[in-house]
Amino acid sequence: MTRILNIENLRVDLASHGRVVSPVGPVDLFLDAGECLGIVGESGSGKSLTLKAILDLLPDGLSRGTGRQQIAEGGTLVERAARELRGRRISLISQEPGAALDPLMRVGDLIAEIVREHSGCTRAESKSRAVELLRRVGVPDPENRVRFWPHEMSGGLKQRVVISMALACTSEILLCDEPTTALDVTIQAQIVDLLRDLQKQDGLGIVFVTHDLALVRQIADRICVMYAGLIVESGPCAEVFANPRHPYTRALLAALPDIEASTGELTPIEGTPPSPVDFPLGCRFAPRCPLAGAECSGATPALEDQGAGVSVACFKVGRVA
Amino acid sequence: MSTTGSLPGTRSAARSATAGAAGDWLRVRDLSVDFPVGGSSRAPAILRALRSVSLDVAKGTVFGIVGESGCGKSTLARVLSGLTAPTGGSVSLQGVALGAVRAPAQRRRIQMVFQDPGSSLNPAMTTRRMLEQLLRFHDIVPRERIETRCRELMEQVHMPVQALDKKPGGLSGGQRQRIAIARALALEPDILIADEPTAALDVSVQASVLNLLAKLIRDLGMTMVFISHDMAVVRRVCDHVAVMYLGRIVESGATEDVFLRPQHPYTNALMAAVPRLHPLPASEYTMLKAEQPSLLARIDGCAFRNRCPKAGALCSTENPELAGDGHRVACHHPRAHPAGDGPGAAVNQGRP
Repeated sequence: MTRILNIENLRVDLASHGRVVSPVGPVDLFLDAGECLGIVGESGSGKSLTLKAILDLLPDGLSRGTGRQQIAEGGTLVERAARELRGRRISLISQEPGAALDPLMRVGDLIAEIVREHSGCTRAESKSRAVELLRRVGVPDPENRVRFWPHEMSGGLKQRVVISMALACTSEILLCDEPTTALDVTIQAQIVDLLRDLQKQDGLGIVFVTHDLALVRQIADRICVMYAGLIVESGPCAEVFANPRHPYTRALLAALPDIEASTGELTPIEGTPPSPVDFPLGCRFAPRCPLAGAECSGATPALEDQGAGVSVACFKVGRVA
Repeated sequence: MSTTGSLPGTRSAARSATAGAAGDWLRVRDLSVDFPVGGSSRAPAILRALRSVSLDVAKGTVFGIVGESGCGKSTLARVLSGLTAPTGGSVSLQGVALGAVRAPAQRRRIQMVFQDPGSSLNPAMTTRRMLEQLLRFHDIVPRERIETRCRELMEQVHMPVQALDKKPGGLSGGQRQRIAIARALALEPDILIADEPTAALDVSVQASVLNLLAKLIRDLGMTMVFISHDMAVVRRVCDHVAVMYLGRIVESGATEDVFLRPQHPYTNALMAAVPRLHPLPASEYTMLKAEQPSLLARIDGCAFRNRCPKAGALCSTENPELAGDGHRVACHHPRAHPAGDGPGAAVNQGRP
């Protein structure tokens, strides 16, 4: 598979009381063509910040520290700044579709504006393209829906409109930040189905951030598990779920109720995730980890290859020869 | 009360045994709630949040209510706990009618735990002050025992005694929810209503709150009405479950029956739409088309028919009544289940 995005050493910085702390990173990520990369973690793990840092859309007070990103261009990877990618090559879908749509514009005009900006076609052409795009993302009756205002649409429809806007930019990569969290489960299934279809049919690369482990299992080809701003485990989705290696991944799965099971104890993870201003030295999961030993509080473990495409950042996980 | 079994999950035999006949504990009949939402005086717009809901909850059991947003599950919780007045119908506990306006002695019997402990706890009050106020007002224990009772409550919800001197701001989300549970328990209620108690919590914290609720139900012999949109959680926690759609119960029965052998096409689709750690085979995957109609719309016939793969002529004229014994369903074309059928069952068998 061809690599379309490569990110190295990405860090998010926060100036706090005269010193700089890093709620995220350093993090390395990559994405292959037509692949869906899932990033999972609990609140505060830095998964959303990672996504925003890629496009340099961080909230005030936070800034992108280090990090370089390369994107595929004519067969090779070329380094590009965030502003060159944002809205052109890479689009972001957020949790709240309502916030991404201008309430004073009809949805058809919203989409047509983007089409004109990117292709330079005429007004009439862009309008018919908007109808096509709405049809592509499964909005029923698109000829009429282009005249709707955002507030006249349900959450699921609004999210479809946002996705169609990303397609209007002819983006190659879609960054999804909890795109279905505000939606009902039956609508969530429809949106996930649409994203999968776009990935398969149009070869769209997707980075899907969520706190929902079962959802990521459903959509992702490869996953990264984040804890306290770092990736602790990454690998093919099926493999990571079948054989979780990092103690945090194991603990998360043990705490998760499974729809197929009505019995068995749920095991909570004791303690709370650390705050970025006082991340523990060494492994950040060590204070909550059942396996933690002396070496865990000394140095931060690096991601190491465990075979089967899986990398784990843990001193206590045996290295596979 | 027996402490056998390890909830959540194993619903102890002891609890089912102590459960009396369903009719004489919490009983809800033809409950309706309409909210006026504007419109003109000649044609007022009415949002029908609950449409003739009836249910029975047996003593010592956990009754789950599932459904998507707008189905009326939270309105039902609010009516049960006396926070919202019903437009029609009745709620009774042990044969005593509970109106919208309740005397303290009645109010005390049904207590509620809300979704977001950040907004349901007073940020300016320490835990101790909050509990003291409650215990005094309801005159639950003699004054000199109030401090002891506060400490007992902290122990019950697995919190350190120091938490009594903290305000919600000094506690994490999971800890706040424990305090909210302690507040409900302080009144020694017969029934605990939990409205999405873990929806605002992370998975790792959710597990500890669910374990705590299960233990309390078991140890104190309380009855719980558990409202959630998370099917996996409901399956683990609840003995019985009712599935709601647009203000109506469309299916109800024992949790395992409803989840493994859903008869209503909506329940079936809902179960298929839940993301799973062991994904369903494509054949089991029925995607629902379209979305739910507006709650303001006047709906003749079955409210689900615009999304239903089985909808026929009868469905557009006549609203199906909730019918059946034990496992009840409101559908003109319920799905028949030979033994072992159903989306969950199929997967369980095929699982390595």
